[in-house]
Amino acid sequence: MKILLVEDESLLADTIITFLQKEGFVCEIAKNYFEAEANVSLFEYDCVLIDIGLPDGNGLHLINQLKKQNTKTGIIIISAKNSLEDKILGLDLGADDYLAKPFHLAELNSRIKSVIRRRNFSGNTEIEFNEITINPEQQEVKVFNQTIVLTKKEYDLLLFFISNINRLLTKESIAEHLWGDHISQADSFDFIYSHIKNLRKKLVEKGCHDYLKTIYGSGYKFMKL
Amino acid sequence: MKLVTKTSLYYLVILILFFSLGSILFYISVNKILNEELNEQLYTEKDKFLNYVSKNDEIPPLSSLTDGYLSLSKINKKIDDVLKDTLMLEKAEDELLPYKQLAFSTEIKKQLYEIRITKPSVEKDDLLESILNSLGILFLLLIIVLFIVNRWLTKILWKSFYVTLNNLNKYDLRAHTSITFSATGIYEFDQLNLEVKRMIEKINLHYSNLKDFSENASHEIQTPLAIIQNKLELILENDNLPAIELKKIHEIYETTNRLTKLNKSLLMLSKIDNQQFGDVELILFDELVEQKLLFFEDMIGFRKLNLEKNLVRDSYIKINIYLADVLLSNLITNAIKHNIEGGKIAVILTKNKIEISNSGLPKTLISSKIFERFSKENTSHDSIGLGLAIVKQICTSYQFKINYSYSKNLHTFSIEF
Repeated sequence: MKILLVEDESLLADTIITFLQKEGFVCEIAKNYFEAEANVSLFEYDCVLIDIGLPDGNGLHLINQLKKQNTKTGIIIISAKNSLEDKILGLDLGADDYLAKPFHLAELNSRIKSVIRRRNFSGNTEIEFNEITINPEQQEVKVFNQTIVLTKKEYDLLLFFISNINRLLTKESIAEHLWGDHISQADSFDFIYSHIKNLRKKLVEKGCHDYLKTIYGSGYKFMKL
Repeated sequence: MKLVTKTSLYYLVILILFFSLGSILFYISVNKILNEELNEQLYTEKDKFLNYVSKNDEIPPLSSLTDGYLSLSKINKKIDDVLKDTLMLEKAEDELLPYKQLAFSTEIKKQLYEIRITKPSVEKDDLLESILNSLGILFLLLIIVLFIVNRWLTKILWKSFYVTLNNLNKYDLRAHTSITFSATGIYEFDQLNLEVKRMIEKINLHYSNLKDFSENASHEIQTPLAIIQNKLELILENDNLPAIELKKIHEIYETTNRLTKLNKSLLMLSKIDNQQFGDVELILFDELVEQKLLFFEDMIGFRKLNLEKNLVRDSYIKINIYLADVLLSNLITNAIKHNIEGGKIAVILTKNKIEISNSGLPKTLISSKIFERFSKENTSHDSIGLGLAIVKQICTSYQFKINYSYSKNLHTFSIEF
């Protein structure tokens, strides 16, 4: 999977690239609008991450260009401004998602995977991980082909983990993924622990391996054994 | 004290002063004139007498004297003219009244006589009385007229001043409008209006700049925070680090997270204040409340809270949908967070009011303080203290009334739309 990151802040760009490369993505960086335009016209990426606050042009125009090229490229806007107008405009122009800085890397990861899934596999969008099968369209989860019933939050949590296999998911990033900005820190951690406990129980009940590992002090990992 | 009153008082004092002074002067001059007049009369009588004597060399008949007394006495030596005041008993009134007397000597039929002509002088008391009376009436009339004219003029002339005052009163800095004045026709007030308009424009500009600055500053902070947060995430991935170091790193990470939330909240407050959430729609509020309660249902269940909801159907509120979301989320999460295990949450929605109550620590919060940013009541290591400030800000911008009360062991927040 090839990803283009359009970001002028190099420290941030490097960090994101490092992370995405660990995930197995092939990454390219464009530091300004001009470079981005060139990159996009030369390659077809699976996903383009655009920081719309570029020094030499508004990244929103890039969306237009991508749309004109009629590609299956997923577009995610990342922005420091968190402006509602930009978000609406961007999504109207055809972007697939909008993520405000600062975001958790795991969150970015899960959004990228979600966008690619939606755009690329026009037929089969099922996610398979060993004995677990997830159908995102129906929001259905099966273990060894047996459906298990999960609450909305448990489903979101499982999907988040499976999008970030072997990645450390901090409690903060899980909390923000499940409840957005509306949650303050201390309370959520007990909730998360209880959600994970329930999720683990439901999976293991159907014979699933326990992939959920607690990393003491920081968070959790969904470990490929 | 009103200007018109103060002016009137000044006029009054000055008038009294000048009238008193004037009365005295008037009295003196009238007195003088009357005196001189009387003296002239006496000398005229003397001339008449001497005339007659020189013509006829005999004593003129008494009837020639117009008013007054005439007395003759024989003397040996000539005397100079003596003019003096004297008192004589007026039989009719049985009073000593003032008279003026001219004494002179003349020869009649070779005999020296002293002639005394006495005429009644104006009674000083009477004079004083009549002067004071007339002046007094004049004074009163003047005061009344002045008073009326003063009031009337004040009303007319100061009208534009009151218009300006009213405009200033109604002016709201946050409404982002400029202030307009129409020409008053009075130089001073036009000047006043001009200066006020200039000042307000300056204030507006400063305020606008300050808002932009603080918003831009917050925006600029996002990216460095993102770098710190993401780099820490990468470090935390490294299992090989000793646990002690990982712990410290996680603490830094948590703190960064707090900063991030703080910054986001500050930005939110700034945007609400800037009315950047201008789009309003008619939101089906009961549906939104249901949605939010569903969203947090696992939290409610986890803390074993008893949820009581009473929502009137089809209640529409005109509000920006994003702000409505934030409003409800903040209030509901507060109600969950500041609750006790197994406690209660109640949400009551009527056509124009919502009440969210929760059980909790039996401590009454100070109503005026809880809506303040970062107040001691709100901050703790895990709360940035802006949640309620944001709720209040939203209410202020839509002119909703928000209220906190504590009764029957329930903390209740209510908003009237």
